[in-house]
Formats: sequence, C-alpha cells, structure tokens
Amino acid sequence: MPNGLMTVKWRAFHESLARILELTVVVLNTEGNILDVYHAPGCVFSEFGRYPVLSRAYRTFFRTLSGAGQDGSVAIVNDPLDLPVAVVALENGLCLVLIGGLPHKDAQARLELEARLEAYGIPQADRLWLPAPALTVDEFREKAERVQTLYAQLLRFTRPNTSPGPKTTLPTMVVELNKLVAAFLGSEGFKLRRILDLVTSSLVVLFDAEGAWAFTYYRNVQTVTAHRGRCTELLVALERHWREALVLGKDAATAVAQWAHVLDKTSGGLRLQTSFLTHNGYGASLGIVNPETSPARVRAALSAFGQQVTMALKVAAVYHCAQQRLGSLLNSVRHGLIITNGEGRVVIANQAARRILAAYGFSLTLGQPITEHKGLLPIRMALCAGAAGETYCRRQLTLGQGEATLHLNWDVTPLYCEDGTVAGAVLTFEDVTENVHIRRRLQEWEKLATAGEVAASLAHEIRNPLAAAAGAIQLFDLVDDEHKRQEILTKLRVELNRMNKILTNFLRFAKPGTKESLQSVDLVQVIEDLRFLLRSEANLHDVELVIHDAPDDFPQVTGDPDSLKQVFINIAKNAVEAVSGSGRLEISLHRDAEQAWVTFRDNGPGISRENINNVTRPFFTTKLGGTGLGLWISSTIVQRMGGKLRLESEPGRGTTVQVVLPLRQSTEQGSLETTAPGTSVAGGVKEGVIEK
Amino acid sequence: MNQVDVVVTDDDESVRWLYQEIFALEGIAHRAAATGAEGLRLVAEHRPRLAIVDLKLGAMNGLEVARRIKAVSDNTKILFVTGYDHALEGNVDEQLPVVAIIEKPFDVPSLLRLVKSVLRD
Repeated sequence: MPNGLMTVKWRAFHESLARILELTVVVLNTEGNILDVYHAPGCVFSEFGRYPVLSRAYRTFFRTLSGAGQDGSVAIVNDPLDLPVAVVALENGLCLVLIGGLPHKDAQARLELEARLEAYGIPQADRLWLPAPALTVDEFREKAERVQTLYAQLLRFTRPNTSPGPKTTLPTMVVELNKLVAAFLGSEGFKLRRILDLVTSSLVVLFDAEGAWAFTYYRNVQTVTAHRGRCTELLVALERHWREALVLGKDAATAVAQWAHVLDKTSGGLRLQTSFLTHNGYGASLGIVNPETSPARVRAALSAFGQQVTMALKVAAVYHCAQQRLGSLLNSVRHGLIITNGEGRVVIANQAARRILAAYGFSLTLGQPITEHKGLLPIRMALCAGAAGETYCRRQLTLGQGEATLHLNWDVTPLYCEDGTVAGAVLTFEDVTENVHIRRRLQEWEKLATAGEVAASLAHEIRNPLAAAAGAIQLFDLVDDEHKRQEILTKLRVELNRMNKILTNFLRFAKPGTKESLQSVDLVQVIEDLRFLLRSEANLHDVELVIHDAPDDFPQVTGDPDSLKQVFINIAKNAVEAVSGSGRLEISLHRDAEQAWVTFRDNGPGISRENINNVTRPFFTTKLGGTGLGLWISSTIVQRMGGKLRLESEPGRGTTVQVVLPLRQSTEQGSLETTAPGTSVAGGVKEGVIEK
Repeated sequence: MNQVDVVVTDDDESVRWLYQEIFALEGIAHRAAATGAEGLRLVAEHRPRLAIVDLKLGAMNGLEVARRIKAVSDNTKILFVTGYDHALEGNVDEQLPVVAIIEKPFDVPSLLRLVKSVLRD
C-alpha cells in the first residue's frame, strides 16, 4: 500500500489523532520523506516551516528514522531540538512520528531549549511558549503504544480480503478508542473545552458487510468524517438526526425510532442495530450494520459501546457540574447574557436574559434561535454577524408601545475559542426601560424648574429698572428744581426702555417653536464682520487679540448669521474678561469632512473641573453681576442650528471654546424647529457665564 | 475725613443713581459702591452707621458682604435690598445686625424714614 495512508479516511483519522493528542503527527514513507503532516490547533510545530535551517535539520532527522524499527515497534528518540519524539513503525517501512511533547517544565530544560533555538537562528520574539502537553518519556511511550495498537487494528481491519481476527474485532477497537480517549482525560490534561468537545462530539463507528468504518468527530459545527463506500448516505442521515436529537433534547426512544425510520428508506438492504443514549441533552450512539454476520460480535460491540457511553456520561456529569458553576456565575450577572452558536441558536442564556425577555412575552428555548419577533430582528441579525466575527457596541432597541414598551441597550461580540476561531456570538443586554422613564420625568421636572428659575431671574432683572423708575417718580414729587426734574424724567424714560428690552429678550428665547432661519453661512465673513467689535472689546480690556486666517476655500456652514454673531461675541467677551489685563485670545477656523468649527482659545485662569460641566447650565455663574445665562443661550442657539459647543479647560492654562457647525452640504435645506427649551433669557447676552 | 453715614452697595447703576439722588436731597452723607469688594473697602474706611446691601438672586454674595461688614465695622447696621422676595428665606444669620429687608421697587419715603430712624439711634 504505497500511498494507502493518504486516503481521505486516513487523513481524517490522522487529523483526529493530532487533535485528541494535541501533538503533531508526521507520516513518513520508506525513505523517510514526509508524506503528510497534521497539526493540533495552535501547535508550536506548525510554525517550523518559517525557519529553513531547523526545517532542514528535521528533514535530515526524519530520513534517519526510515526503516529504523520493526513492524509494530515504538521508539522514543530525541529530535534536532533534543526533545523526545515517538516513532511508531508501521508495516512496509512506513512510520508515524508524534512530535510536540515537551519535557516537564524545569528551568534548566528551558534554558537548554532556548540555547538550541538560538543555535537554529530562531529569533527571541518568535519564541512563544504555547501550552503543550508536558510528558515524561514513559507517558509519551504509553501514548505512542496506544496509538500503535489502535493503528494496527484499524489497518488490519480495513484491509480487503482479510477477515478480522479475534483481536481486531470491533469491540476491541472501541475499547481501545475508549482507552485512548481516557488516557487524555487525566487530571493533568483536564481542559473544559476538550471535554466539551468529547461530550458534544459523537464517535460513530460503523461497520458494513465489507468491513468499512467511519469515524465522525464533531467539534462545534466543524465535522471530521471519514467513510467508505455505501456508508456515505447512511452517515449523512445519521449525522443529521444525531444533531437534531441533540438539539431537541429528545429522549433515547424517540431518537432510535427516528433512526430506524430513516434507515429503512435510505439504506436499501442494510439493517441497523443501534444503541443511543442521552444524558442532559448530550448523547452517544453506535450503530452496527448487518448484524446477522455475528450476533455475538454485535452484543460485544454494544457492550463496549456501553462502556464508552458510561465514560461519556461521566464526562458529561463533570461538564454538567462545571456548567452549573458557570450557570450560577452567569446568573449573578445583572445583565441579560445569551450565547449562540455558529447557527445563531441559543446555547446559554442566564436568568436575567430569560426574566427580561419573559417580562415582555418573549420566551427562550435552548437550541432555537432567539425569538422570531420582528422587533428583535436587529439583534438576531447581529448574532449571525457576530458569529462571523462582527462586533456591535452600545446599540439601543425599543420594542412595543405605550406601557408595554421595552428599551434595551445591547452589545454583540464574537465568541472566540482558544485557538482564535469564532464559535458563536455573545449577546449582553440591559433593560433600561426604567431609566428611560426616569430620564423623561427628570427632563419634565427640569423644564419646570428651569421655567421657575427663569421667572425668578426675570423678576430680579426687571426689578432693578423698576426700582429706579418707581423711585424716580417719587423723587420727582420731592424735587422743585426744574432742571433736576428734567433729568429725572430722562432717567425714567431710560429705565422704561431698559425694562422693554429685557422683556423683548425674554420673549425671544421663551417663545416655543422659535425658528432659527437656517441658511448658508460664511463663517469667515461672520468673523470678519465682528473683527472691529472684537478688536475694540479686546483693547478695552488690554487683551491681545489674534484672529488667524481661515484655511483656503473654507466651506459654508448651516446656521443663522445674526445669532452666530451673538454667540461669537458672547464667547469672545467671556474670554476677554477672563484674561483682562495682558492676556491673549486667539480665534481660528477649522474644518473636517462633515463640520466646521470656530475656536476661541484664551490663556486665562481656566475653569475648575467642578464647574466645567455647569457652565452651559442656565443661571450658573461665578461672576458677580452675571446672570448665568450667556453661555447657556449660546449653547441653545448653536444646538438649534444642529451644531454643538465644545469646552475644554485646564485650570491655570486657559480655556478653549469651540462652536461646531454642520457643513452646508451635509444637512438638509430649510429650517429646523427648535426643541422648545421653554426657557428664556433675561439680560440678553450682555453678560457671560464664566468668571475667572 | 468727612463723616459718612450710609454706604450703598448695588451693582445696578440706575439704582445707585436713585440712592444718591435721595440721600443728596435729604443731606445724608453717603458713598456708593458697584461691587461687594468696593463696598467693604468703603465700610472699613468710613465705618458708617448703615450699609445698604443688594442681594443677588441665587448667589450668597450679599450675605457674604454683610458678614464681612460685621467683621470690619462692628457698629454698622445692615439693610438688605432684594429683587427677589424669597432670596433670603432661612439664610439670614441671626448674628448680623440687620435692621430690615426691603424689596425692589421700594417706597422712597419709607426708605428715608427707615434710614433716618437708624441714623437717629
């Protein structure tokens, strides 16, 4: 059999072997040349091809192994890195080399290995110490011998025209498989994922009349299947129904009945005697085709299979225990958490997830996609995309209407295996319905509170001129001098005008539904129009004013030029007052693809951390005589134009205020209805907010 | 140094104008300040019989000024003037020598009577 080991069936077997052993399996021909190499996931040896010197050394080493041992012998020799490898000699001079077992970790061994890696020119940065099975020479030999036994049996069994001898019967082989699996389930090699693989994977061994066999290995949705001849159809049917039985959690009787039904239709003359056990949703199965060949053999096979299943169930119990721990951990999480597999079916759901969804009439079933409700479609799509590696962060979803509305914040992230492959998706979500309601009530309350504060502020603003005017009238009666009386009347007129102005300003901002007339605005021109005014303001306070030239072809923004002038003057006055007496104010224009902004940077004393969040709130002021409305009005105006106010300040270093506005082409034409703050301004923009 | 009987602190120019006109008419020696700091300086300098202090809505500036007045001039009585009638609710320190709290707009003859009664004592 020159290349007999290179058939699909044997390739699958070698790959399964490499995975279960977590070793690299190399198949050598009679000359010691490599026929094929199989790596366990994440195996360190898979990288060796990158290092030509080491690669060559291994090829030379392999050639020395050809014909080294007798058929069926197992030898442990040291490879070019002085690490133990197992050589299993097969018949006809072929051999199987198991590589990748590291000696037990000790500092000296590691130093020696480092030195050898150095000698082979492997850079320090490439030496990743991946977890590899640590084996003594005896343990390594024992594993190799098991592989050898199994291998010899399979080899003999599958050879045409050879009737299986007593030692190569099916039960023996199943027992050997069990031993092999058990050998890797020792406490040292205990890994949850491996056990999960074993329990959720099926090991189906089928024999038909011609003695063919099939080895089916499930790992998540990945399937390794080896088969021969007429088994194909049968195996496909078995796989499908096995999965369905697992997913639906049907009891054994149901599953067996289903199988029999399918087999009658699909397998022609074949009859199947099968055993199927389930435990906590996991199952194991074995089918024997054409059992009449030897009833005793069938009984023995099923008995051996029973052993295998017993072991699987033990493993399942361990897994179940681990799952319970995991479950109690997940259930203590306040957020809803759902894990789905690669097909978008629910694998794990914690109590919070069930509770939140149940409160709104959605139920969750393991093994099924999350509810078909169309409102959850975005999440269902995200879960599918998540299983393909996509991530969705901080998404929001609103379901239903009125009292029954559900507000969710959710994230979907891919579920990664140890080897970096994606096995499914993780959905976490939080019911923020209560928060949304509280926020709305708070907003209502804030509106009312603000209205009250505005009224109070207005009263105060009005009462100064009112006091002056009322006093002036009374004074008028007390004074005889005609010249003085004229002066008092003039004062009276001034104060009445002042009151009117305050009210005008108040109405302008208080009126709900005020429309800013949104149009195309040339910010460069607006700043230019203000240049004289800003300059004189700066001179008044002995402040150095620098207005930087705008970049060429500065785009138009959307806004209202008059309101913007008001905003700019307001901010500039704040800054100028903050740096009054030998300070500096710089004004510059910037843009990106979607917006433009005007930056006012001063070198004043800055705003303290506690105040920075308050400066755009109405009535916040630290300035004696300030209304606390200037920056709030500016912020409101800019928001109405679809822009925003950005504030940055470092105490002792200065403050930067940016007025950010959308570019003309990135917004729609027309006016924007105001968000009706229901609030007002008294005193207009004559006073700023920040006192430094 | 001339005797100053009243120091007025109010940030509103028109209101200061009114006080000045009234007190000038009645021959009451007075000084007016636009800020708390300036008012304090005048009080410390002249130790007047009465300080009229404007209370700003929401801020405690007026109260703070009054407290400091007591510290620099023990015999100065204080008259609070407010544009917002609830501004002082529960906030006036009992230790302060407050003679009255009056609201804007105020009655000029009443104010004069009040001031004169303080100055007579």
